Amino acid sequence: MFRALALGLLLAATPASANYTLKAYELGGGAGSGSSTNYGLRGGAGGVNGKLTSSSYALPAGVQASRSAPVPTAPTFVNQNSSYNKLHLTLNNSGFAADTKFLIAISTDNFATTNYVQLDNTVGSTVSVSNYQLYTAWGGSSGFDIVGLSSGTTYKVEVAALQGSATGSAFGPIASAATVTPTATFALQTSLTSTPPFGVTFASLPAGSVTSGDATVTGTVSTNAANGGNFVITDNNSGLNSPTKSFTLASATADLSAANSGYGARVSSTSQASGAAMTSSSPFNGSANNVGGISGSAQAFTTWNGPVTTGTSTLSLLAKSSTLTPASSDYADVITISLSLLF
Amino acid sequence: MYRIKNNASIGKKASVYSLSVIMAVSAIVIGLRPGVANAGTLTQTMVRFDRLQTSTQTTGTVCAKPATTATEASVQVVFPTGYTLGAAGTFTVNTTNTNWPTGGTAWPSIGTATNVTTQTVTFPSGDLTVGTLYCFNWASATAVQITSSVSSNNTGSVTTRTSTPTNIDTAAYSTVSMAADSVNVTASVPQSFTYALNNTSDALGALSTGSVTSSPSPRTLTINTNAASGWMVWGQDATTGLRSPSTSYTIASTTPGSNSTLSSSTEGYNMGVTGSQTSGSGTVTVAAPFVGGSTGKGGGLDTSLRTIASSNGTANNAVLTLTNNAAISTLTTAATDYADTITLPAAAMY
Repeated sequence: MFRALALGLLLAATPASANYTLKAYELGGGAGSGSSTNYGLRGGAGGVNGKLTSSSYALPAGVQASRSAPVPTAPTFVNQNSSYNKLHLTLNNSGFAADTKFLIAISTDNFATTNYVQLDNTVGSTVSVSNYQLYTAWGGSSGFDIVGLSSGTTYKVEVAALQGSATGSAFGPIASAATVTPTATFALQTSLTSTPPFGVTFASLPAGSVTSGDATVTGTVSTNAANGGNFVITDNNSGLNSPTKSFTLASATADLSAANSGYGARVSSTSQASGAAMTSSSPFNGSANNVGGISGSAQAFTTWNGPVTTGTSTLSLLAKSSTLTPASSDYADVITISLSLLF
Repeated sequence: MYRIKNNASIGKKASVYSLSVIMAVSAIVIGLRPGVANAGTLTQTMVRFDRLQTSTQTTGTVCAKPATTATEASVQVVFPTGYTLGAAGTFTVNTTNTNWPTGGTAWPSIGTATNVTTQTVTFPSGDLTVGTLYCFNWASATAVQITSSVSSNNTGSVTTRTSTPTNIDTAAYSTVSMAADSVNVTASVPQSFTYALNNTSDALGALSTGSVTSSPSPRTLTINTNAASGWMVWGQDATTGLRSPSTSYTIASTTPGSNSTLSSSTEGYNMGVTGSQTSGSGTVTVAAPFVGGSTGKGGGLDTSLRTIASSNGTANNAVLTLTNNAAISTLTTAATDYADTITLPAAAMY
């Protein structure tokens, strides 16, 4: 009796607050519409005709649950580092309970086809309740990278929430960002010229003296290759060859100060404007007269492990002849420098 | 925010929650759009062109790390626009590690390309394991020629495929084409020749009819040179023998131009030579008339320049040991001023 009376009293007035008004208590039977600055309801509270959105929420068409989790606002979705295979997403959890979990849908065709961000931050078609993660698991305020994306592609994401015993919310507003295409620029120059043909000359290699070439060789790279890369060196003769003497001043890894003779290269400096550090590689990372031998086999002389802008490596060539190195003015070699990028 | 306040009674509340549970499930189902399985993205991709210079044929390397579990049967490499590709048969492959990235593993069952269509080259492939970086090289430079224009950001892609074929994983790469990717290195090695006599005198002492007298300390002539064709040493003397100015008598050189061995009590005079070398491309050869090595053996000198020794290559510490030999007879005029001056010019042949 008391419970019936109490119910009757409660039903005597329509429920309201500063933020909403419900026209009736009936689920699915509410008529008319209600609105505030934050939401709008049209038709019955359980039967929305058409998708409703505002700047802060969205309701899908169809029957609305009586206790849905709040609809997340648009996340922050950006390409932080001119990436070609990942985009950075930061969810907005303002106003959400700490135990709220979020699901992230992602699409390249405005959700004609929808995939979901997986727990390993890749994109896949798999979706279940387990795809909902806490805000902190999605990187919290720092966000996280959605990885394994296609290059040169615009992605759209939208976020749904699930909290406690409430119904999972509809997806919130869409945010979009685009990956770029892989990039690579590479320039070669010497300390004498920035335009080819490039040359390095040892005007004279007196026996017993370590001599530097008259120019250094600098390679400059800019790339968004996420896994970095390296500069690769090869040569034609595995040394300085004199055709007329049929003799090669062999290239070898050595300390030319101690060796009777030799020829090789050494990284004399590296730098980068930004991004990954350029690092000289063995055996080209010696000091003074320690050189790395050059041959027809590709060898890395400088490496880096991520995207880099204006990464440079300068190579010095050194040589030393012995008393037995046949005199000749036609010693020559051709050094080829290539670029290896791991995207 | 959107919240439903529950002001109803306990009984009403129960029914509302019951409905909420039902609707929560349906909302999740309704809210999730069906996903479509797409090709994955290779975790890592590399296409290295061994040459980057425009219009240059090149070999190269392809690496890829699969991300999706599937059974690969082929891999397609799309080369950048403008790169000229040979026929499928030119895309021979090998799995020699040519400075592959760390972790690079030979691509299983990779084979010569089976198809080239526009910029896409299809290679047969074995099954790959997710998370392993596989690499192979295309071994013939005739397969790929760099575009004729200088440009950056030349993009292509690598795609693994099933036998169907459907794409499994794909990823793009980028490279460059440049006016010159090489540096011409030139050098000159100056001519070098050193020549040293360890002494400019050789006192034979008192000659005796009882024996052949040889240099007590044979003189040495040392040569170092980087002359690729070697060196020569010639010899001549001033008086074609040991001459005594006071007596105007000469112990004549023994048969200049031929080898001889002096004997005691038989007047004669010659020079024997032996040679050695620490290192060098040349071989030291003592001219036949002057071959020494035993007492009294050698060749006579006269005023003509005669070849003493030679070499056909470079020399490090080539040493000629010069032993002067003299013998007198009972008729040899006594004197204490017998003397001779031997001249030993040398030259290198570059």
